[in-house]
Amino acid sequence: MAHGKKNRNVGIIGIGQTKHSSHREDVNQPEMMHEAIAAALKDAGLTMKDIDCIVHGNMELFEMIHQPDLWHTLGTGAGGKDCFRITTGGTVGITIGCAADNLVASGMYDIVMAIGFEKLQEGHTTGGITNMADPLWFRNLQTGALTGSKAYDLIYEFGEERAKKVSMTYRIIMDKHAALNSNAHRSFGLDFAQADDLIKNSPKLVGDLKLIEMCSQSDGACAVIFACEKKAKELSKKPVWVRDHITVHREEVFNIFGYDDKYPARQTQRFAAENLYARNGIKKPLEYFDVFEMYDPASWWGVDWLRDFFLLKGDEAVKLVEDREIMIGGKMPVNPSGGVIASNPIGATALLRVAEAALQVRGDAGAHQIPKPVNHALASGFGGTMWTVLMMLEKELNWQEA
Amino acid sequence: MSTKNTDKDSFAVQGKLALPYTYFAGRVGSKFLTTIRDQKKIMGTKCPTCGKVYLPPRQVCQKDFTDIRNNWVDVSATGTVVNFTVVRYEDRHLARKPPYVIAMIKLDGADTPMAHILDGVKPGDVKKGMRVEAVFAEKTTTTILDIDHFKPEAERAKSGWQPKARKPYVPEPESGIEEKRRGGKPDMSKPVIICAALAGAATMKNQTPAVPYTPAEFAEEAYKCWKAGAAMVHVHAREDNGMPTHDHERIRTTHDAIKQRCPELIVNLSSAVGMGKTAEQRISQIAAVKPEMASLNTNTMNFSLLDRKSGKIFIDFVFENTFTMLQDFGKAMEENGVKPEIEVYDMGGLDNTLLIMKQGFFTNPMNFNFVWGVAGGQAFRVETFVALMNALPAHANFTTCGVGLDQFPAIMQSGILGGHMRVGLEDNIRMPDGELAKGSFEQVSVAVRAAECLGRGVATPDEARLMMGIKKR
Amino acid sequence: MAEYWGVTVDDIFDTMQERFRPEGAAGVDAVFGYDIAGAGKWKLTVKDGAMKLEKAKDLAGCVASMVSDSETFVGVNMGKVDATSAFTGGKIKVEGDLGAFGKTGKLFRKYAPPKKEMSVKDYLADMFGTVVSRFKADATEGVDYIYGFDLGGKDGGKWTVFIKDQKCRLVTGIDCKTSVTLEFGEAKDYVDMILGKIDANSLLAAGRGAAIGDINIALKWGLYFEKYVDPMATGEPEQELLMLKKTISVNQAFVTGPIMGKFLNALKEKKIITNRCPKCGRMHFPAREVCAECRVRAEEWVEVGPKGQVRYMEYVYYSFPDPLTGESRETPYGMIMVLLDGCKGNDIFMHLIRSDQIDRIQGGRNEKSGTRVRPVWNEHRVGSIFDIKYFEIDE
Repeated sequence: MAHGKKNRNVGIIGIGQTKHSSHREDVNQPEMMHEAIAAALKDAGLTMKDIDCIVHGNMELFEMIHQPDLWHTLGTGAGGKDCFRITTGGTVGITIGCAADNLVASGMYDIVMAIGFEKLQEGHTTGGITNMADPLWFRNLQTGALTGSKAYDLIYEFGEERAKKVSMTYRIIMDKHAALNSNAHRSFGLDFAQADDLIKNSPKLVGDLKLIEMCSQSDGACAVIFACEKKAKELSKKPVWVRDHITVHREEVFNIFGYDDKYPARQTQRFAAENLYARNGIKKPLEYFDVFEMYDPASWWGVDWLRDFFLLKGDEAVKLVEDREIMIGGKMPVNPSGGVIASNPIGATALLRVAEAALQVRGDAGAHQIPKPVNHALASGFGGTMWTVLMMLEKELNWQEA
Repeated sequence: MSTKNTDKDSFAVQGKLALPYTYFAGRVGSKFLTTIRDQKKIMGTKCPTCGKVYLPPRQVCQKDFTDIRNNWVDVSATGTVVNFTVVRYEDRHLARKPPYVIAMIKLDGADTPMAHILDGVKPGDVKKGMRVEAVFAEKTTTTILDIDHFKPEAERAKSGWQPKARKPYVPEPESGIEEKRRGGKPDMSKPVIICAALAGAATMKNQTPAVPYTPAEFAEEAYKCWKAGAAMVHVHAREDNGMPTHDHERIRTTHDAIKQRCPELIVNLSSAVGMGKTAEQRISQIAAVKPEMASLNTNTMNFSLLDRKSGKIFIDFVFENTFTMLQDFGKAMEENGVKPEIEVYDMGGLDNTLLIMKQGFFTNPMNFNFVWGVAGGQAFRVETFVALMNALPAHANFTTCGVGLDQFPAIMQSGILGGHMRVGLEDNIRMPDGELAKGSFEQVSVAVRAAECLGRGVATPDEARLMMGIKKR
Repeated sequence: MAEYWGVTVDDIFDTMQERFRPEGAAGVDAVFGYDIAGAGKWKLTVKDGAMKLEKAKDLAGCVASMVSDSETFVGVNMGKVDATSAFTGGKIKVEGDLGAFGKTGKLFRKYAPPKKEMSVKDYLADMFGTVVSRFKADATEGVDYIYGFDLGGKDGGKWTVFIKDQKCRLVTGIDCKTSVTLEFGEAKDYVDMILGKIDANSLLAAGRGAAIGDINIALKWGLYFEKYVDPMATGEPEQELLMLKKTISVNQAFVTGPIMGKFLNALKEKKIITNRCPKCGRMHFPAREVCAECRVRAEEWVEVGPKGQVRYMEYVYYSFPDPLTGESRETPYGMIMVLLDGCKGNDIFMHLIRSDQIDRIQGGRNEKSGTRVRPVWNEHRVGSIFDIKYFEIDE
């Protein structure tokens, strides 16, 4: 479990992404992916010749292409190279990042490119996700990635008014962040003054989960290039170091939150955070990290998971949002990119969290760069029925000295 | 309750997965398919870095990632089977009833093969290296099946009687040629050089859809003419809308497309280009593209459009070819290694040439073309033909072309007098029976038959080069 | 009234009747409202495949009303504003029954702004009206030409264009000797030629047009004037982008295995049975071979329920395709998490609630019980989750 098994250090040396959008009729899948790959190669100052291995990932069934990595070779440049395809649901983007890190750390490859993409306009997300469930039992009933249960929980815990307000505040903050990110899919120009109106009028999807609070459905791609320490130092002025990552899976169940305090259901977010911080000697994550890129499928989850990921208690996370401390310039900026609610090309989404966190560490995030120096960044992935992946990024290679 | 689970408890449940999808072809894929659908034309993208032509077209070169989305090139509808498989099982997902052949076909002008259905041939008779051509679908579906299938390429058209193979042409000593003409006896010893004038400047698609405009259409038409027996094509390049052009790039692309499709063929470019072009526009393109041969016009004349029945003038146009232009164009051609084809619209033009010739820059042998039927030039007359022939300088070759109905009589007389033949849609859009020609190639086959009937046979392009003194490029 | 993209809110409403599709109104019997800020309120009554539209003071009695500003309303109807984004972002709101309002989407053909057409006369006026402005003075050094245009037909006319001293002058009529005069029997041919619909050579060859005088001068026109731009043309034609719509359908056969099989078979007998983890005591729905938390075999079978209490209900408003058919599900519906009698904690059993009882369901929490429910069994049972039709309130 311990990261001590890492054979050598790995740095991120190239980052590329498309503009995320709901309308990409102008390109097919490999053409769209290529935009991100070309951008990552340009960012790293490399050509395809320098890449030893490609890790390709997206959701199953969303585009219904069998073995998409074969066709996509046209855009990924994987022809004649080692290429692995990985698919782990919503987490896939960060899983391919972890895999690329592992492949380099092991010594098998010096430079590995992770490429995640989705063209959600081509398929049907929810229809596809329902196929995750046991075909004999729950496939016929479940509601895909949409659930109102987190809203139900928070309303129970904090009261209807406060819970709804904090969820909408989180949502509006994400919209304001997205407005600063030219690659973001959606930004409506929302204002805090609109919160009550949106709470009242935004159409409901499931329970108290409203349309405005749910993540978008986007077309887009992201590519990140990982290199061994030697190559990273040779090739990059500002490599971003992958310190550690953790993946926590659970059985496929849909009663994910629990309705009785005597019988707490295991939450992978907190489990992952506790274990990751323990093995890295981090006591106060809220103080240690400078920025967090979270896979937040909806604003309700975003609010609640802050509590889990930063090991907070009671309403500490709610207060962070209420006090707008998660804004760019706040105590703990969350999703300066606008997050998943703004842009969600699912197979790329979790890799975008890593990419955006790395951009913050490099200081290259542009208009959505946070003002304070970024030395330690955290990125999360979410998928399946409550799977969590966390990745820690560092500006300096100094943590091993400690 | 029982804790034993037995296999009897297990059973199978029939399920189904059905989800709606919408796939986007993207800009590159859409253009590829709509071009096949709307223009019955196959286009690829070419990488300028490595020169590779991709078919189906790609947005980026797979080898070097060069962005090639706007670098479209025409490829041919004919190609070669590089591999194939026979589908022998039946399945609702398949495009045809088995057995049928799926072949990897490398189209002429493309570097990557494309998979498609090969029909019109028994599976057992399919061979690698087989030549095939696309059959476009009559009912389009905006899919790759707008090429319905490929079939074996049509064989070269044959007349009923096939003459036995003739001996190859061997150049004779110059004295011998003059010997043969003595006493008004025609020299029938040489095979006939057939030239196809594919388009000219004024034949438009609304007159005959077979006239080529694009480089690919020129290449395809030239290829068909070569297959039919032509040794040379005469070309006025056109824009996509049919307008004649002096644009170097377009002329070069058209020239190169023909040479790429048919490397053996002689390409003869026009130095007239079309109406209203300046002297500079007319000759600079010849010097730039350097074809093996080019037309050289010999006198300033009317070159107009009249109603041949009523005599009413539609367009009155003076085709300017001063002595200076005759001299400068001729010199420019000789200096660039381009053999002039000297266009003779009347005896005056021939006499002009004989005067300028005294400067001594024309290389032997000189090659003349007697042109009949231009409104402003001579009409076809048997006696005039003989007079022109007799006025030629020593060692000269001659060919002929006639506008409209004069086309076939003129080439017959040329054949009998030992001259060569030019046909093509530039001069005439019809066959001898008045039907629209399917293309210049169909007229070529008439010329082939005439040459065979005279016992002369048809010159290959290399034989034509030997006769006309052309250096192969 | 304010215009957006050349169209007013009234234009949209005024054309509703002619755009109405009776086939899209089958089974619709409702009054819909439109509240467009800055424009007014409208009531749309749809009944028996017919519609009636009226301006209204208030929208009382409407089953659902759309609230929007004028620009967004016109934009969505013109296809200039993405409806989903406008809706998600709160620029369009629906008051009342959202599901019912969705039906208005099928009621009308798309709004198309009336196409203004230019006649031959309009074109000639525009072509000659712009001659002087299209003149390229720099290209006419030393040029001294007179162009005549003699265009016949009922819309035709005569014009003379003088080029001298790098100046251009247009005169109606032809009163002097020209350098060249273009004669066309029908002015329409000239217009078509300039618009590129027909080529000059063909017209000349067919005797429909002639150049009287020096053709070379006629051919130089293009050097001295910028190309005429058709005001009706919408610029670069948008490339046709292809898409393939396809419902991919694959037949499958799933084997239950002995444990799931036993569980499903019991449903045939109107019994809900499951297996219990010997370590944590958790009961699985559906039954499983091992407890995934404790990683031990769960071999003890227990009968539970069939009645229980609702712990939580997903109130689903959002419609999405049923993965089995590709068709969208009817909404709203309720998916309940039932704690069957004999179960505890999070051992919940999921199913649907009778659709007319959705709004009466209360979830439970900790000690507090939720609404009591009981299964409604199908007559014909095959060993499937749908041997239970749904649950209903146990009262």
